Amino acid sequence: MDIESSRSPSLRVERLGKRYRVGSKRPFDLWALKDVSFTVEPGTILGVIGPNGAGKTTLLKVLSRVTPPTEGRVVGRGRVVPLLALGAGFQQDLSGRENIFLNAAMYGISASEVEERLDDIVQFAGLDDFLDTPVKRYSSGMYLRLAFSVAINMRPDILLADEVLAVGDMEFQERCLERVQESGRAGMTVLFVSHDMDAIARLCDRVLWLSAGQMMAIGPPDQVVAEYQASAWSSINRRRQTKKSGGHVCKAGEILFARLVSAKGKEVGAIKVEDPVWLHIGFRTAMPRLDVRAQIDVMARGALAFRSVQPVPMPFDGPAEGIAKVQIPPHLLAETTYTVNTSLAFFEGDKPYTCELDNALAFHVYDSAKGDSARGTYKGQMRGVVSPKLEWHVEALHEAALPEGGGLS
Amino acid sequence: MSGASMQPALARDEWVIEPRGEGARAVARDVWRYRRLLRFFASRSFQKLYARTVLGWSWIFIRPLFPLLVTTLVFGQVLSVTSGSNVPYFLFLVVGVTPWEFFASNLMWGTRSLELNRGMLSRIYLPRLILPIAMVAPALVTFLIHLGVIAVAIFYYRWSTGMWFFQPALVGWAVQGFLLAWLLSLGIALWTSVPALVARDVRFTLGYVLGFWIFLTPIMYSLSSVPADYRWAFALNPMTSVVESFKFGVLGLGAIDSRQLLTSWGIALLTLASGLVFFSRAERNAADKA
Repeated sequence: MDIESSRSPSLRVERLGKRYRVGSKRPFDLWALKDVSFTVEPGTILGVIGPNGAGKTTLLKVLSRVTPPTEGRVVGRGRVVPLLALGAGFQQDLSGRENIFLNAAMYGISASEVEERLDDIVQFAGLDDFLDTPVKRYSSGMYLRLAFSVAINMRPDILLADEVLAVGDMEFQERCLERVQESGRAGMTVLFVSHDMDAIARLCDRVLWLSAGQMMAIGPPDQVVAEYQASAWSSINRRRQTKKSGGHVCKAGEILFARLVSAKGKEVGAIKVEDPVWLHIGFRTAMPRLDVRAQIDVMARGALAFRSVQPVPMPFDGPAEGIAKVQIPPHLLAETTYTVNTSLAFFEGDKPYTCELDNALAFHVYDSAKGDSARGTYKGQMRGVVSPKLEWHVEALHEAALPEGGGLS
Repeated sequence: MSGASMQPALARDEWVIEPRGEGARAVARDVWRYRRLLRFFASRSFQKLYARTVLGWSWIFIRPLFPLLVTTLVFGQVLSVTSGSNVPYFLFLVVGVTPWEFFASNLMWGTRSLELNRGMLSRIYLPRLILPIAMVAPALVTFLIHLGVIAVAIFYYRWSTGMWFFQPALVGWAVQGFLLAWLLSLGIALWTSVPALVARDVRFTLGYVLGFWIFLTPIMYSLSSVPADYRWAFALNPMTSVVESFKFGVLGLGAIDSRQLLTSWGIALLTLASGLVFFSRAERNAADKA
């Protein structure tokens, strides 16, 4: 890339708007995008986040010329390769090799250019032995690898990736992300749509947050992702708590709310792994004198991550309102979404009453991967429902001969 | 990508996306850039044709031949319609049906071209003009089979009656008729294919129109047998020129009416040009309708 071209933006979006006419009986206008303006410098990986229906996919469709904008314009530079709907152009009956050429033709790329890159494509996809097999015999993983490999090896100046890296096995996902980053350093601009905030925070240089077709923010990933999650989760939590199910009320009292509160006392919906956070459970008692014991079940990835119980019941004079607070220490939770079931036990002497509020709260934990979290400098996938920061040591053992490969303490 | 309308000149590899289309030149350039897809969509349309049938590829022969035999039986034998010359009715009929069937099937497939590739349209960009153009493949194959039937019939009648009906010197007129049929059907398909994406009515209606149209075209009967009062209606029908050109070009039957021929070409070119303008505007929103 010469100096002249590196000076001007790779993509300039000006007041872009896209209107759909929806509904057949009483049609009305829906602006899937409205007044969206931003520029992207070459080599930038721009994350695009937002709830479903925010206009993320529409934006990529406009940029890839699948659908025209209603207003505004886009000025771009160089070859655009979309990875919308991965493998959309694949033909089941054709072999892997034939599909490579077909796919390239659909990007408007010449056969001779594909010929040159064929080895790279096949190698990255790891499909040497299956190149002449019809793709309908491919596993979904092979399918994905081929599609991604074709796209990235077309050397796009602008790569449009829509949620595609959310599929496929983890090892390949990591290789894709690595490759995207590598190409980014070489000057490729990437628009990366994802709901995976971990990937967004780790991969992107900037993040664009869309909501209902409007631009909410564009800026550094940490900041925008945190704002987005705070907004997204607080609206979800509000919805949860207005739902009256009845289980949260018992004869002795009721659970009023559950909140996640930062060290500064602000209600939050997303936290960083390194930040301590407080969980507040508001309740009301209906009897003069009770012993109160609170309990939380923290769920993640469909499993119970852990249960925490207030160690000793506390006497409480009432009827009155109270709040139970529990601190969740930093560097305990993993980068994922948690939901919390809360329950309160009220004891009138030996007689217990229980209130339960399931799904009282949901929040997201993310890692900005600055090297001081449990993952350190590791870029790979962390797994499990907790991610405690543990102490590690590696040392040599005197003179003793170690078996091949060495050993860790 | 049309540099002319932009205020600041664009660098060589810059492009612009705007609400309005980029004009016919950009569309043509794009079709050229994506030309390799023509072959792909052509062969794909063909594969779809007889997928999931027991007889498979034999349908390619059965479908054109069966109606020919029925029509010959009904019109040639039962109703005793003649070619108005010494040409046997079957041969007369095949030569008329050949360009008509090409026209009708190119029109039908062209109309369905976007609809049949609906899934692709909403997901990836490609110059949509490629689709109605590529869909000529099935029609071309039927056309070739008909040509084969004509050849066999000519040799058969040479053997059975000793007469040689083929006029090689005039064959250029048949080629001209074929081109006319092609451009006309493509022109109409450019008008119908985008509406057919949202309304299947287009395709159904077209089926009836074609069923009617074939009777208004001198295919099963000769133009000379049409009463003079109705000739004007036939003169306005460009398919009359196509069929007459074919009959003249292959069998030397009838004559070329140059005024009518020019009218037909005028109609075809006008349909094609207006179709191109309509299509290039309408197709931009095809993905939203797909």
